[in-house]
Amino acid sequence: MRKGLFIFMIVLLLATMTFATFNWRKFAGQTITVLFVKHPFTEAILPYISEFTQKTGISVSFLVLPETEYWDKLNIDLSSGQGSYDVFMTGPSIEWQHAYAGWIEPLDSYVKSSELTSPDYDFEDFYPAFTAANRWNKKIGGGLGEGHLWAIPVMVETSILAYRKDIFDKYGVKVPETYEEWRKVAAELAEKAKSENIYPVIQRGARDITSIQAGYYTAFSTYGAKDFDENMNCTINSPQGVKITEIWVDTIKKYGPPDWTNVTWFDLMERFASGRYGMVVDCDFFAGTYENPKKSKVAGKVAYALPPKGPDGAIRSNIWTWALSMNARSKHKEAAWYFIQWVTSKEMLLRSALYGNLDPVRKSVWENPKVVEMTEKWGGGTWRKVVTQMLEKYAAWRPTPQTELIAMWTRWIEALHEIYEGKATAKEALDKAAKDIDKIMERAGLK
Amino acid sequence: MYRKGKWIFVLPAFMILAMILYPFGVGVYYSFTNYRLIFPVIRFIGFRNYIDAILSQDFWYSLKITVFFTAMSLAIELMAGIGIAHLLSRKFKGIGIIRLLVFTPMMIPPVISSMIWKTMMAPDGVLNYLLSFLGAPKIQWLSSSDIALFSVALINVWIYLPFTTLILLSGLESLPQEPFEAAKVDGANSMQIFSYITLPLLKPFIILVILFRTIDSMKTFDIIFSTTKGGPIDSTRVLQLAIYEEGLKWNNMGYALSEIMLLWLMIYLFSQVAFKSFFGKGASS
Repeated sequence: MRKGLFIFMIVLLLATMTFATFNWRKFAGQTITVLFVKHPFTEAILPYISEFTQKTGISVSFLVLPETEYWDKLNIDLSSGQGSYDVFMTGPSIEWQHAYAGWIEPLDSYVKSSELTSPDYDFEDFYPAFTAANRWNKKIGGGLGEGHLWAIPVMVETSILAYRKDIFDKYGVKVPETYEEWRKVAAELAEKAKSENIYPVIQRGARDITSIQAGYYTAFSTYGAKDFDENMNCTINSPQGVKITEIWVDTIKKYGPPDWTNVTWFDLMERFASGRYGMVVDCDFFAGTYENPKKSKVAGKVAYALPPKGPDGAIRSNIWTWALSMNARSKHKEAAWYFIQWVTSKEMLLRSALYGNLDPVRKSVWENPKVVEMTEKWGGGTWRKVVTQMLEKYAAWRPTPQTELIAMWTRWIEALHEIYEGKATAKEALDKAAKDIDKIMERAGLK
Repeated sequence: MYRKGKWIFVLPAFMILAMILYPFGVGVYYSFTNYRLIFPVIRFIGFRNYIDAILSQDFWYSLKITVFFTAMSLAIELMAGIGIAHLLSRKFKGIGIIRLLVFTPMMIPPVISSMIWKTMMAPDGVLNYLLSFLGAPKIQWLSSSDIALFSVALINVWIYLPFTTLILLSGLESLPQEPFEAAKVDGANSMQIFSYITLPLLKPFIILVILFRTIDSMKTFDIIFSTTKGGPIDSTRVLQLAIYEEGLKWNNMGYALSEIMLLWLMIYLFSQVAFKSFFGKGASS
């Protein structure tokens, strides 16, 4: 007993010693290169990079690119095997390609290593859903949230309902709780709120994969539809898939802006802020724009709610999460890990959140008094309440792991356009798309 | 010394040639492989990609759209270009300023122009607003798959019309005056002068415009990427955009390169045929 206590004391002592002496300067003198996307996260981090160099002695050179150029540049560089960028921003569907090709370094061992990771890093502080989104066991068609950790998330966005509370209240319109109600509420707004000169709904619709990823995928999953079955047959044309797609496109066609097929996520955000739309199921952190009187005509007029429920009463929001990966060809892996660790530390993620890099992926950041203070007044307090539930319960990365997501989703959005233009019914368009997607999978050897 | 050193002057040309030919050669090589960006194993597969491309409906569909796009752009540009060049070739007060203004679209980066046009072509945009005074209904410029291709061709025309005009204007100004004077003496009216003297004399310049603008329009990417991204559905998915998606977005590099080679071959053959048939056998590029 006494011996046990003794050993316990020694271990405790050793533990505190390492705590006190975690060596941030172990890799001083090395230089790493980081590739960033132009994003609030990047803008928040860049001014502090000199602090990192002071703290660790590691020099950082970096390149910031707009998103359209970013992926092309990154993929070409990675495929050339040059290892030009030690650390880069990424996201779940991209990690699938990179992990499959062996281009990125699994990060589990770094996170677990007491030599390489400061004891106050606190990996458990991350919301499990978002580290799970960056985990995959490299099995096509499954294994999401299992196997290696390929990246550490730095922000997450979920899909929630934002609506014009002033207009809803004025005309006595109820907030929709299901997608059927969503369609009905849109119709009601079109009729009752005619004098407001608004389109009742707006959603993304440009020929771009992000048009599938947010609101639409949330509705699609919530309705119980799946993209693939266990044999990698495309099932977007399942009865649930057809039903929700029919509701979705029909509502947008009747009650949305007539140029839906050109609306990108950015247009959506700007336009809702312009005050000409009634409600939107999309990115939660757009609230930062909606609530900013300098950028928005609807500041103080918007309230937020959970996205509509499915037939089984469940909500399954899809997410996007930016994360940091390490190049498997990096020549300074430890230094690169130090950088990732520093950027994703509580302190830095808090700073970035306060700059506007929302939503936080760390619980401690989300609950930090300063973040609470910044967000608690949005939508009369509704935003924070809704997003807390999303982060803790309803949000996850939903698509089935595979490497052809971009080709597949491009074909998918084409089908939605066909329905929108009345060139095919939801069933016909999705049947045809599913067949083409099966061909894409066959061609890539995934089926 | 003078004799020995002369190769130095050729060197830059050789270097530039090498810098063009090397990537081109690499491209040709990869077009015969199964190169996928995310699969490191590269295997030689002969003409497989070319056969796949030629047999695929997507390729021919995109080619058809590209040709439509080019033909529409070229037709409008030529007609408007000749008209504007004619106006600008007259001498009157303020012509300097008007000339300057006419050429501004060329000074704006095409991506910026396209973004501005995207805003103007929105359903509630400036264009529909102006048309509403004429009693026209709202046109879905970029958001209807039936009209979008025409709309992006219009943007293409707007951006490159100054170029066409510039060439035709310098052509008009370089024409000899004698035939015109002779025609006037003979009592030809202005329509006759235009069709029997101006147009034939202007032919080399028109051909130049056709060549340049066909090649350019066949390669259009920026205008479409910054407006419709190939949509609605796939109504503006021109070949360049299809190749970009195939290669960089869907990672099928080998296949995309084979499509590029086919496009290159077509443009090359077109320019050869066009050049020779217009200028006769003596001329060659």
